[in-house]
Amino acid sequence: MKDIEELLRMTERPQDYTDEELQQLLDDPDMRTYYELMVKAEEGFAQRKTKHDKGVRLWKIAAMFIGIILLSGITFAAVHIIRGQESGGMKQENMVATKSQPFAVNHQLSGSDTIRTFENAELQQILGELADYYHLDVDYRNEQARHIRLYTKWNTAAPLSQMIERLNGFEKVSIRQTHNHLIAE
Amino acid sequence: MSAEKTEIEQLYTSSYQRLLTIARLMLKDEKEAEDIVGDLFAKLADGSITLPSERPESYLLVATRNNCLDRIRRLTLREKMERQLSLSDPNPLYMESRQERITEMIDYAEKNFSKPTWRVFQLRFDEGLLYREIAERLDISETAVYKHLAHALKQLKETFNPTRR
Repeated sequence: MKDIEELLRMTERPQDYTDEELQQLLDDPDMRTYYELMVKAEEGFAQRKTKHDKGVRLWKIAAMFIGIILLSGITFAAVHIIRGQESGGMKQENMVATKSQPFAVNHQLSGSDTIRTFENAELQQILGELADYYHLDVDYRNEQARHIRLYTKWNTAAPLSQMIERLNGFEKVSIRQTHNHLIAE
Repeated sequence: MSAEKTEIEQLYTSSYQRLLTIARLMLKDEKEAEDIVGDLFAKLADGSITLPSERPESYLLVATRNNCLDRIRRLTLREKMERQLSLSDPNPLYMESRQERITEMIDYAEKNFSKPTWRVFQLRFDEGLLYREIAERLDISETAVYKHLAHALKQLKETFNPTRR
């Protein structure tokens, strides 16, 4: 147990150890195995997050369409939407329309529904919406960055990295993503 | 403008982001990922590599992956540890089955770890918190954090054979 604890310390602060010490600990096959498991654990959570993001996006599209249809006067006895996380897709259950035929929620989606336009919006508003959408926190390393005003478009169906690149194309904007944060510098 | 140049430009527009994402995931380094994908398109543009006539997107994917693997092989042990990269020589043939196995492993952990151990495991490997931060968040000692993680890793080692990729 003691060696695993040493390995845990080492992975957090490898800079505190000499190359020989790192090599020595990882020459032990068990320690190497534990290290590989740690790498895989991190990768596994990252994979989950990717699947989850896809699921959330589909759910939001579905929710938007239900909203449109309810506004048009059609009422539903029951609507359950279950996000199929494993498949990254979406299932519909017990969808019963009192006036209309059952329908497929995402059939009527047009390309423009995934585009959000920000006009003269502060960076903090834009990052706030991105953070909500992708379940991230925003960390402002430069407080002035909050108030930079931009005109930009966000395609919610595109990867977050694409939007970050778009924002970084603006002068004075520097955004990067870490594990759970959007960092504005 | 030549037809070939137009094709490269179209591929750049359609594939750049995807290739960059793959490179980022493999290298865990933003700058190197940009270098790898940028170099690939630069070589295409100056003619040092030629696109195959069939499925050029697949060619770009494989080239990106192989270039990343070459880069990883050249990293020192310390560099790999700093980025939390695997120390074993990555074999592209097994990458897909490796991912499936990793998914199974996390599902297993969620179902079988005790609640406190799962929480510590999650905070460390999902949220990337430092051990000290986990201890503060859960109001436990840092030693307890190590114990939960050590226990989790032992349990995973017993259940999964990590040499199988």
